[in-house]
Amino acid sequence: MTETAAAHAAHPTDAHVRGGLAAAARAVPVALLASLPGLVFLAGFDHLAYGLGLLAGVVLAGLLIAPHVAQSGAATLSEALRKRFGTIASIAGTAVIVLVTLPLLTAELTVIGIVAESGLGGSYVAAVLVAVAVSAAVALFASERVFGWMAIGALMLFAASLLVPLVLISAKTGVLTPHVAYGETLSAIGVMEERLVEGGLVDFDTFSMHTAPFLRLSGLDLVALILSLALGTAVLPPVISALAADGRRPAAVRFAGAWSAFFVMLLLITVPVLAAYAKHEIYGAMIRETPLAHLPSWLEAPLRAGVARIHGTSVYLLSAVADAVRAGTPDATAVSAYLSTDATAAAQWSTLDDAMRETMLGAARTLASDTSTASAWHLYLTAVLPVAAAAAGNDTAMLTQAALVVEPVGLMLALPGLAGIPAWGAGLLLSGVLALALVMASALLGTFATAGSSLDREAATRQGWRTLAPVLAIAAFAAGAATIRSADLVAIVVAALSLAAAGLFPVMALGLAWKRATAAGAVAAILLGGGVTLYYDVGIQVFPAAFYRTWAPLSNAGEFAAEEFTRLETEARDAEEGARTAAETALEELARGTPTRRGLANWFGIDSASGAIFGVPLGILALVLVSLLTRRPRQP
Amino acid sequence: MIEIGLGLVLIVGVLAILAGVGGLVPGAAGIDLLPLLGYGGTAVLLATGALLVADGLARRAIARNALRGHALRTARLTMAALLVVAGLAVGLQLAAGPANLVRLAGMPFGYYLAAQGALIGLVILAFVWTARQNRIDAEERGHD
Repeated sequence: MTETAAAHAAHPTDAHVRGGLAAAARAVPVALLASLPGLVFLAGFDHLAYGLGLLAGVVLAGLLIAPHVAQSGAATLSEALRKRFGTIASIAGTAVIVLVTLPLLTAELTVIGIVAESGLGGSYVAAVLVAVAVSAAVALFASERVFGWMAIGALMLFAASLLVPLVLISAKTGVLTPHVAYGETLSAIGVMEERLVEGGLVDFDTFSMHTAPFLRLSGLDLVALILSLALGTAVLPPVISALAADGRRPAAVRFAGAWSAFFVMLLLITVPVLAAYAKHEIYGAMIRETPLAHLPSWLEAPLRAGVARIHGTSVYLLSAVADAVRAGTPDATAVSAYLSTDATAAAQWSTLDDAMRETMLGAARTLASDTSTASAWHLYLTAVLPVAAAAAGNDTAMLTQAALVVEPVGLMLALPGLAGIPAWGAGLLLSGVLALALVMASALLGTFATAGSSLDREAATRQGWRTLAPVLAIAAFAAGAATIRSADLVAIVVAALSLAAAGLFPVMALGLAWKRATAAGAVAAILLGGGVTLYYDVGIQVFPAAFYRTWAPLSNAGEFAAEEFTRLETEARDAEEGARTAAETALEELARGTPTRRGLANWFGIDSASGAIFGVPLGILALVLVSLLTRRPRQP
Repeated sequence: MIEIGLGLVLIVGVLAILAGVGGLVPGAAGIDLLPLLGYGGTAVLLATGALLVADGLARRAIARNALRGHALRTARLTMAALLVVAGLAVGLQLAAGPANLVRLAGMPFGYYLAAQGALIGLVILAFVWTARQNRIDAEERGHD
């Protein structure tokens, strides 16, 4: 290579590092990022796949997708599609982006609501509404430069909310450099796991050895999950816009992309360390035989937020049932109907048996009638937990692995308590999560503020309502969806990324690079890839029994489960009116599956959220075949 | 173009091993290599051979088509980088079982790779990919 050529190559500068930081803050949906420590806490090795998939995606966004977008002179995915393939492909792509943005934004707002309610003591709905108003304002009025600095600040705050509790927890074991020294902690966890298993304190539906591979996910699940996360993150609109912003040249985009991967990596290698130290603390409490009557204080915040359960119950559920009692519901059936607008409470209520529901209702009546003296926490410890423990066969009423379920995002709420930080510090610590989630929500909405023509700001101002309308519509819809307080944020984010991967990755990665690709090919790739993945997810989640009937030969269901399905089907057909509904519900649940048991409705055992493993190859196939069958595009 | 030759030798070798197992040909002097390599090892050998051949063919195409050199070199770099990404993000994890038998500072090696090693590898790849692609682009501008 010649000296002149070397001089032409861009060299890393401060601007690249800054661009990388600003992009890193928008590279990962915070609903998933804040759930990562909890995910690794839950399943150990198998859930490390989340971090790997996300980082691979950031690398692909910065090196594979964003340089092509910048090369075409566009600043967003929709614009790049329009410049290369025309209006129809751009509309199809934008439709996929809307379908991806809505669930992601809903998940961000839900996390903001949960964290604000728990850390700052505000009301959930108020927090969601304030957050959506702030992010819409930022998306519409903040310039890219100002927003970039906000994003960098939020990223620093978030890093602090991981690092401060990590250092405080690890200091308890005498370790000040946790990243390099946690091998010892892993060994200690191994010993604790053996003691928990020997003591019969674990539930093998939720328990897995921390470092052992392939206990919760098979090799195929792992591949499908990593593929969905990686290719979905690679075409995530906010990170592409952040990297290709300001008319950067492709060389500079690549540098910024590499730096953003570096900063995301720093966050992601902290996650398993944090999970390990938290597990060490929590298993320690179980081995020390902590009675349920004296729960450790770090469990209070997640139990109040409904993101942890002990024997299926939480303080959140108790408060929700008390609200139902105040609203005048007479019995358990009426409570079920009342809770149907609150997905978290409804999911927990549905797992309780009739006796437990009556206990819950009794405690809730006390709570509702006497607000002055009775506190929900006290009633939960004295009136609910002893009954729940006895019903579950936990005769000694101790905290065990089998009793405690911490939702992925719940570990984040438990961290301040685990680190010994007092209540006033918890809000400060969790503000990093809030700030970064707000930045991500603004960036997601910003995709639509610039969906038209971002480079022509004057025209955008003249057509003010054209920019306003889509942003406000999407913000309103997501805020409405977030009030349901969905319980499974991780599945929502993975499914959204999966759809992004299937709908957009083939056309953005291969379509923009391959000169022979035609507009018809691009449209076919978006529709087929996105359509199949959407069908897979919605089909399994909404119509599981019908999905299984259609695709039974492709399902990985065992003989026993298939017989059970046929038996329930017959029962549902022949039963009386009342029993029929019950049988049909059981049928749907058997086909859909539960968090601990995979349902019958699937293709080759792939999780409904990871449908990109089918959509991406089909999209690429459609792009190639249709492009070759249509007329060669004119060379520019 | 020695790598094409080497790659072909590897591929033929693997095919011979498989043919011997399938009973199509009598194993040379009764030596059966499959138990030694396993199906995984055989697949790795086959993939190495295919990669060598592909690399040789790509080099030949680049040498012969000066006009399309930039596109071909970009395509080759992209494919290589994607292979490394797949290897780091997926391949290493699938091999975690055996890798866990080795312990590194108290940590099972397979677990370490998934928690830190592969992530650091991905970032190194990102910088190498950036430098290489930018050099290819810069040389293209130099030719203009």
